[in-house]
Amino acid sequence: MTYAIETKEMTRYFGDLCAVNRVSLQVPSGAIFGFLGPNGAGKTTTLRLLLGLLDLHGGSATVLGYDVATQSHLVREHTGVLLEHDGLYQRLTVLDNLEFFGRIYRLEKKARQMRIQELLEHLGMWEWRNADVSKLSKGMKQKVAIARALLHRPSLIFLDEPSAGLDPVAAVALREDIQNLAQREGTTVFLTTHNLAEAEKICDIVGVIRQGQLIAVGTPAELRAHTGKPTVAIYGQGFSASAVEALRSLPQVCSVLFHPDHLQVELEPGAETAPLISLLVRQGVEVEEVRKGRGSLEEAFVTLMREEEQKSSEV
Amino acid sequence: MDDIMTIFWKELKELWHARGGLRTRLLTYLPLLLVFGVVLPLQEREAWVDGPLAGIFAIVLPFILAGGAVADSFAGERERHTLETLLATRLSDRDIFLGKVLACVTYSVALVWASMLLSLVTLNVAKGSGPFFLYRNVILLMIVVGALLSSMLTAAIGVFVSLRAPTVRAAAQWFSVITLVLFVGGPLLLQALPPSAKEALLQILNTVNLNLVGIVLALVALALDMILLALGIARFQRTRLILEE
Repeated sequence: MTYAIETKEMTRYFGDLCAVNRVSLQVPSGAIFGFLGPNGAGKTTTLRLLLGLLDLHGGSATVLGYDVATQSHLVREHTGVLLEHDGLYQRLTVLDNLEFFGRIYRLEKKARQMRIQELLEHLGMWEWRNADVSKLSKGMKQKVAIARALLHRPSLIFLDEPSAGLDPVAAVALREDIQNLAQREGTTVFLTTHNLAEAEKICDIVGVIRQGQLIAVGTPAELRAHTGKPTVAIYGQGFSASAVEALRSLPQVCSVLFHPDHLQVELEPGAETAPLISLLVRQGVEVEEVRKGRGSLEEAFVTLMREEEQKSSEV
Repeated sequence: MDDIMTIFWKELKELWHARGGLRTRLLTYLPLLLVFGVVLPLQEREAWVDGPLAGIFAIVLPFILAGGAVADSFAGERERHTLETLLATRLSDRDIFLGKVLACVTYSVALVWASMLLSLVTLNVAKGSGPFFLYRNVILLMIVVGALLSSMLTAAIGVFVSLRAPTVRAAAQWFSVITLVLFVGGPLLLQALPPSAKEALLQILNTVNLNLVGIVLALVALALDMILLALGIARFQRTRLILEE
């Protein structure tokens, strides 16, 4: 397997603060990699280190085979970016913005024009090509920024919180665009986000960072299996306090959350659901519906954070 | 060179679009062109092409015309959050810096030369018949070389200030202060000199070759331009700028 990104004990300090702490990571070529973490966890610093925009204070990193410490210009030549801000020139039109970046990447005039048209058409932005960027909505600007990132057909794109600030419809549309374009062009995507639902839907692999340390890497399913426990939602009527208490006393039940119309029960891995239902029926509950579920990535993420917090407090 | 020209192209596009629609843009430049291209030449007549006024204006104008543009060059990118994306491209630090300086110089010198050319046209049209009004050689030199050196100085100072300033407003304020010191500080210093020193200075000026003084001043301006550009290039480092974002 070839890796688009490989880091070994990558470290970066800001004064006494270790913003990225010995991060070792491998991102396979062609994958959509989600880099998750709370605010200030070190996501953006990691991205800047990988782009060679900040110096490493320890360890090493290669992006597309180029050493970020000594060949950062080559890293930037072969990658596309959409950073925290869209980075578009508001006074210029959509076409002028893309024309500028096409020139930066030395695309021939004809090829540049064709590529711009192809991307804008694909993203549904061709009609807006002559509009000033300042006139576009946030979602449209993000689409133009995605087009800009993909303009020179990079092997790898870095997206820093691409759906931040977008309404849900625009966020879903953008997510689909990223997936489609990455698939169509065979591009590796390195995506930082704290939108866990988004990561779960589009990422092949996710890494979780907390206080500069990489605490977990795997597929969303692996992370869920590792930390997210199976859950069951039991809908019905007549949930009494004694029924809930009886449920909580079962060894296979980890937690019970009481909602007006249902109970949300977290189970130990491999636990059976039938004994729970029998017990509730015996307690006089009229069970109407049972929905089994696996822990979401969000739950897995929260569990990971809690575990790490506990470890830190123990130390 | 291609990369410098790419930045240059973008900068000029942004400058052209900076003041909104075409009408606003014309309204911004038209009064300047009218004053320096029509009103003053018509008042001065022959003195405009023979006397030092046009040459002095050509040297001072870049500071007045291009101050805003150069202050915007880096501080504007930082303020509008476009700098990091630009730094994340394949362009080298030096090419980004020089592309911006070149755009500022071109913008400034083009405005000065356009005003001076218009003034010549105005004078000749107003005169009607007879030999053409042309600038005296020394005045022409001040307009061509002086304006260029002055524009370079404007760009070098402005870009350097813009690199350090957190906002466009701060950059513009710093640029204004430096301009004031340059143009008001000199005369004030002369005023403050004791009478004996003033007399000695006048004697020197009366005896020296003024052409030589001009050449020396031009060389000093060129050296200052080079020093400021070198300092700017040295200061323009991605890793440093990212931390200031």
